[in-house]
Amino acid sequence: MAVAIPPAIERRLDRLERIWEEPSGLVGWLTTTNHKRIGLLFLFTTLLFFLAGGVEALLIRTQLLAPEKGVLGPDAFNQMFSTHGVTMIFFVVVPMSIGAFGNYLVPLMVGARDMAFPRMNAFSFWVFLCSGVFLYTGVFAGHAPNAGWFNYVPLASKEFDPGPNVDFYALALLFSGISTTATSINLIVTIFKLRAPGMSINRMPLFCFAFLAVSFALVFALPPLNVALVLLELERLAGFHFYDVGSGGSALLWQHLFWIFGHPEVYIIILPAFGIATSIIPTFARRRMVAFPLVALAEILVAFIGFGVWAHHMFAVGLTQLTTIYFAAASLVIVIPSGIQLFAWITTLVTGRPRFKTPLLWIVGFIVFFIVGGLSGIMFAAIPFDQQMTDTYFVVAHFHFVIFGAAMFPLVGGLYYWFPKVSGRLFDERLGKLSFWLTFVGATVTFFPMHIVGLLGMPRRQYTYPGGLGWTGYNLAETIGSYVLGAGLLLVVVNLAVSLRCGAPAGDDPWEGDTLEWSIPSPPPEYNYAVIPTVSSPYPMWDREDRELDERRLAAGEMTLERGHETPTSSVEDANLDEIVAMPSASWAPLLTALMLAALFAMLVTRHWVAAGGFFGLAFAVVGVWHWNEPEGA
Amino acid sequence: MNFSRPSRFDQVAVWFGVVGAPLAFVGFQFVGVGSADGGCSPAGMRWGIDPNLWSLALMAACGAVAVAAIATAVLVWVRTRVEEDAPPPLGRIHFLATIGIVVGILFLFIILMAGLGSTVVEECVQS
Amino acid sequence: MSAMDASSPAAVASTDRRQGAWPNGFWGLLLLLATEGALLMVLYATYFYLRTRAVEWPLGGIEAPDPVVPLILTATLVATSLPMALASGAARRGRARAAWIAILVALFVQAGYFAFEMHSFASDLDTFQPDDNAYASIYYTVLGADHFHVFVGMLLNLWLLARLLGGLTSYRAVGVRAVSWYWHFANLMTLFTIGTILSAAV
Repeated sequence: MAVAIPPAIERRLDRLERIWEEPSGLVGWLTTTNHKRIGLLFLFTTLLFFLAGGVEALLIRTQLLAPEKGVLGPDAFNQMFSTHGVTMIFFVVVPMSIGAFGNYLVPLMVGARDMAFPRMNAFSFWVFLCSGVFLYTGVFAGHAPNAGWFNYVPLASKEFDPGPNVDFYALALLFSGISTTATSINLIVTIFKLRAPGMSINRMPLFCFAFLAVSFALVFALPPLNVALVLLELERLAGFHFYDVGSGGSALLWQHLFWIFGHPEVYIIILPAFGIATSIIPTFARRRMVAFPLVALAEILVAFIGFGVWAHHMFAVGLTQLTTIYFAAASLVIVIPSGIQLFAWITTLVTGRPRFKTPLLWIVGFIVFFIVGGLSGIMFAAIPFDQQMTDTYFVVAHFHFVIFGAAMFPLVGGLYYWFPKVSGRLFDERLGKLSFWLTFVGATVTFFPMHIVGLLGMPRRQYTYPGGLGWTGYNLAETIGSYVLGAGLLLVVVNLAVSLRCGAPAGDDPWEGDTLEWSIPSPPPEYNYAVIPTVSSPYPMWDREDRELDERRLAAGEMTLERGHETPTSSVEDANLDEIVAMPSASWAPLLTALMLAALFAMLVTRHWVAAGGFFGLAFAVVGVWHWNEPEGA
Repeated sequence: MNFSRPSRFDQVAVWFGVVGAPLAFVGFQFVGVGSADGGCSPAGMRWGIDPNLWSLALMAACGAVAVAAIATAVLVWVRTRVEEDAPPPLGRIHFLATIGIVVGILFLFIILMAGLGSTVVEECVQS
Repeated sequence: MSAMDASSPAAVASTDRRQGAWPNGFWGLLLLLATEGALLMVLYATYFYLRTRAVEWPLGGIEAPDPVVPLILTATLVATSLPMALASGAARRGRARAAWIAILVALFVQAGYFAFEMHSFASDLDTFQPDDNAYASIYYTVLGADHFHVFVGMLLNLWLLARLLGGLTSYRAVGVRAVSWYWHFANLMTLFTIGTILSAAV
């Protein structure tokens, strides 16, 4: 319902629009520093990689449809499952979570006008895009990663994998790691410093707790991976010795370094999903989250303890019993924070008045998959069980339940939940429910039989299997399930794409949501908030007095910051107002820097060392020019 | 409703209550895994490191820190008992004290499990 | 005018005094130091992991490093934390010229350190190469990583010197503060590096 806006307020909104508008057309997109545009760029790019990873998955399942099929030979199969893993983890789930959802929503949830470092945000995206193109250049040239996403030596060493496949793997991950680190730092500083005055830590939405936890985890988890990859490339390209036993190295060194990264990585994958679930549940249960402090704690605790459990991926490699005990103890306790969250979510739903709209259906699906996947995971914490099940399809079942079921489902639920806010339109609810059921059934039929076939002894990472072992029927079911799953996901995309053009207008707050983004128009204006909001609880939209106060403050021009391209900063613990700071505008520097880095990595993979050094220097020079320009105030 | 200002003690102590046990766990895991793996390595065997003894000593030392952190968190929690949405800093401090109690208990549990587990395994036997 | 536009010495100083919380750029740098620190710590852990897999260390008959020269050089580098801290303090009080001179002094000493270290690196390469064995590989990698961080720090100092020629703003004062903390970090890491490398002599 349109309400007449008083002329004085209309003038303020016009002024803000002019101050915050970016150039139009392609130039606008290439130079954007606006967090919403960058979030959308991340979203569409990760959806493309999701399509690629999905095709890879369907090819794998088609090959395994029946024994001794000839769809993919062993080399092609190795490339297929390795690339599928690398794509889904590094180029879909994590960047979709922090790059798309994090970038778009965190400033909105904390009441800010943009991220703390807008140009670095753009840089994150361009580096991400370039690193994905880099990887897939290798893939299409027939040099896809082929030693698994975990890339164990000595299989991945020059002796056994002499081609450039592993070099593409290592360099692509080093490259994309720059993007992920930059986004993480940006998210942390935004959550720490840009919260609306009054939003102390205990009044911050649970979504922000999850994203704070995941960002800190990335800051500390990526370095071990970077070290592992650099040492590997020094060994492959320059003859150094770190992993080869004959020269005093250790093959287990790779495994330790990789899993010190790899285990936190899987919590990094799931934490944003927790954040999305804890946003959707209170809205559709129409009540506050049960045990809010414990849920906030659990999100941070999972990330923290996750750094102390890595060797549970190495229970079968010959570590001493005492060494494994340290990790078994921590691995058993880490289930408790997840359990706390599960109890809180379920209790909130059961004691609320739930409306089972499409977003909540995806979250219920997530809870089901998380319970099953979590249970199979905790079974692995028991060392004897792990030593039987390692490298079987039981592991594949577990991680697909938690990565696909428990990480992807909330992401799709989140797409549906925030689609009205981002696009200003409603999606088709019936198609939404159908897409959920297709995907849920498809995923269950694909991944549940893997538990059984793993217990029956089917090893993972095998390009085919013989008949007569009792595996054939289960594999056939899994392949059929995967096609149903694919159809469900396709239906999600079709639903949203069609609704983008033909959906009914959504209005500001179609769900009666609890967090700040539902207080502004759909889609949000460039400047987000005309007046920096007043906050006194984690559910600002349910505090009517605060929202009415904001309307009066808008009319009076209080905290509207219309003099320039500005946002307020506040103190970390209690969000006391600190300073008003100027924000940078559109810039070419982030894209140019990313292109210099892309050239650098291209020179490295083709072994042109001098040229690589040259591009490194150029990248530094562009960064210098970038920081020469200081954000102007008025 | 009037909320009194929390004392300096509460403001500082709550942080020990929150991070004391996690830091004790970090030390436990770091030194423990280091002594367990390093102690049974070629160099460690020469240096005569006793991994099981280290494990017990760490359990005692780190366990004590975790217990102290839990006790501090309980004390601050009792002293700052208010409603969930109390304005900062009181509401925030009570919130953190709640977190500290739960966190401390969990980490103490890990330390005790691994420390006691070390008493039932022989040294330097492969898993 | 936003706070970060303050450009007169008095304005810069008063902005700094008024700010209760650490500026955004400072937090950004701290987090960068956290991630780089984690990277270097993992490298040191790798050194000790490889060390414990070996009975004899250094491997292959390579001589353990002589401690004297490295310790003197490290002390010299660590001492540059003092002029960098002075530069940061001067910038926060709006005193551009004092900050500039302090950075120049620090950079001069750092460049001298770096030149000596490059010479030492080159003469090491005459004796043993990184592809000889795991000791040699990790030795050169740990040292190389440290030198790289020192080199980046020197580039940052050069950039500051250039930028401050145009005057001091609050934005640039935060930059000086951030770079001075980068140097405290780099110096601390050099202490760990030298401790790691010289542990072979024990």
